[in-house]
Amino acid sequence: MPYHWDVEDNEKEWLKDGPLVRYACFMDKPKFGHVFILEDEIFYNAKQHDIIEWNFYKDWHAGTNCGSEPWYLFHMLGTPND
Amino acid sequence: MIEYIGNCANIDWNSVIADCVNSEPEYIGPSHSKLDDIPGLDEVATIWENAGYKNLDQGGTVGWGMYIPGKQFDQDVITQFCTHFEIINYRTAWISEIKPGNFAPVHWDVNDNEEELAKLPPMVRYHCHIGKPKFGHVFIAEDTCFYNQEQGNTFKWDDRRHWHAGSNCGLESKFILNLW
Repeated sequence: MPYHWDVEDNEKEWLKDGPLVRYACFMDKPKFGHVFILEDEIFYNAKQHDIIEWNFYKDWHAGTNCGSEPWYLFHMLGTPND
Repeated sequence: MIEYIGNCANIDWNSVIADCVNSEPEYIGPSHSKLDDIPGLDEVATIWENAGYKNLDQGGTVGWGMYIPGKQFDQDVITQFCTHFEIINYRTAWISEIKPGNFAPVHWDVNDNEEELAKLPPMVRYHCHIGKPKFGHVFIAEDTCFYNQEQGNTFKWDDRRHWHAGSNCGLESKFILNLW
């Protein structure tokens, strides 16, 4: 998944509820070749269930898999309750 | 084990990369196919096949450019590199290029002479990040992911046969010098 930020169709509507925050969760156990890049930071061998909060929901990011098994990453974008 | 051994940014790597960019690679890897009778090759080829990888010439994304000293860039670069790190002798050296969107999936470098090499003690290998750090340039060896490495940063492997991989999810080509 090359260098990009995620364009959201409903962004304007969601922003009416407050600032958006984005999270990513490493759902799976770490495996060879599974790499996630967020701005200038790289995530490799992240522990299963580790969650990261992004500085900005539109941050540039990319993912690559040069291993031998599929790679899954869980994403959530929303307005925190507080 | 893979250890950092120093930086050789004193070598004009930008000029070396320009030489590569301005020439055609010696060939596009991988150079072997599963049908070749070389010890170790079948293991790598089977992993790729089961994972669904396809080479560039099959419409896939697996492929890398190979640049050879004395052909696409000056042999003297290797002399400078070996002098800097006090490497007394070496068997082979090359620069690999991974273009945006392409991969060198998990593998170890199976050599044409693997049968002969297997009779010898493990040989050390070196890799050097000859390009400036750029978004999406990923190199993995063993359990380490090398990212945002300074230009000239060099690492020594205790065995040339370590499993490694490279990927480029950025916007510009990635170049690495390899020597063993």
